Amino acid sequence: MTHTLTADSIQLEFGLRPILSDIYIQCQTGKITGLLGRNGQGKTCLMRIVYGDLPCSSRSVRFDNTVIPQPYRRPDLVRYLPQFNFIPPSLTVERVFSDFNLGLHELENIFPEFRPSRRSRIKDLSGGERRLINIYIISRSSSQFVLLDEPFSHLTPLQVEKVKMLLAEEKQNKGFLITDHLYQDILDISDKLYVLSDGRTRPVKGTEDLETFGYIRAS
Amino acid sequence: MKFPATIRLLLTFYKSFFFFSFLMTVACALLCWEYGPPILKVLFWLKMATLYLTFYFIRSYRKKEFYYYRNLGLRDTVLWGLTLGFDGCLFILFLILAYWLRP
Repeated sequence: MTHTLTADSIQLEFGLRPILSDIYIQCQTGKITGLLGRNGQGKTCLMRIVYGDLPCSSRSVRFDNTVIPQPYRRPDLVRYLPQFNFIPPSLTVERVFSDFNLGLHELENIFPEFRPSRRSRIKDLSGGERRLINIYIISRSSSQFVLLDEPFSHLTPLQVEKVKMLLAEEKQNKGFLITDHLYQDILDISDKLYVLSDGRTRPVKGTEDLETFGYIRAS
Repeated sequence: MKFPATIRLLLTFYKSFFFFSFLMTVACALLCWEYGPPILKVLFWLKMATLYLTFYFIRSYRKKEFYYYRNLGLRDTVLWGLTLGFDGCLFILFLILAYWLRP
C-alpha cells in the first residue's frame, strides 16, 4: 500500500521577513523526493515544520490525508535526520543499534570499516563515520517517511555512492524527503524534485528548470 | 517502544546531569543533617535553582541530542518530567533520611 505525506499552507516568517509562504510538497512511499535550494531559503525550516518541531504561523502536514499536528511524536510515521550529528557521544555503536532495533551485521556488510568499531563510543569515531551511523540508523529504522537534511556532508565520494545505494534499497519500504547541496547526487536518486526559492516550492523536471529558478548557473 | 528500552533511554538522559545533581542533593542532605528544619526552605530553593540551571544548560548545550530521543519516540516533556521528577524524589528522600539520622 502506498502512503502519502503532503505539506502545504505553510507560513513562516522571522520578524517581518517572510521565509516560507507558498509551499506544496508531496512525498510517497516507494519514492525519493529531492528538495534543492540556495542557502537561507528555508530548506531546514521546511523539514522541521514537516517534522513538527518548528512552530510556524500556519501549516498543514497530512499523512494519507490525515492531519498530524506533531508528527515527531510518531516515529512510526516519520523520522528526521538533522544536518548535524545527534547521537549522544557517550553511547557505543552497539548500544545505538540496539536502541533502534537494528542489526550491526548489515551495516558491516555495506561499510566493512565499522567491523572493529562495535564497542567504540560515538565520540571516538571520525566525523564521516559518525555521519554514516546517523544516516544509517534513520534510513534503516522502520517508518513510513524519512526526512534527511544534508546527509552527504562529511562523507567521501565512495561513501556517498554507498549511501545512495542504501537509500535506493530502502525506498522500497518508505518514502524519503532529502535535501543536500550535492545536487547532482540528489538528481541521481530523486524520483521527484522541488526547488525552494523566494519562499516557494517549484516542481523541477530537469536541469533546465534548475537554471531557470536560479539554483545553478546557465552553462 | 518497549518499556525496558524506555527506562534505558531515560537513564541515559538522566546520566547526562546525574553527577552534578546528585552532588547538590548530598550537599543539601548534609546541610539538613547539620542545621535541621529551619534551613529546609533555603535548601528547597537551592535545589530548585540548580535544577533550573541544569535544565537551561542541557537545553542550550546538548539540544542536538534531543533528536535522538525524539526519533525513538520519547518526547522532551516526558524526558524532563520523569528525570527531574525522579531527581526531586531522590532529593526529598535524602532530606528525610538526613532528618531522621540527626543526632
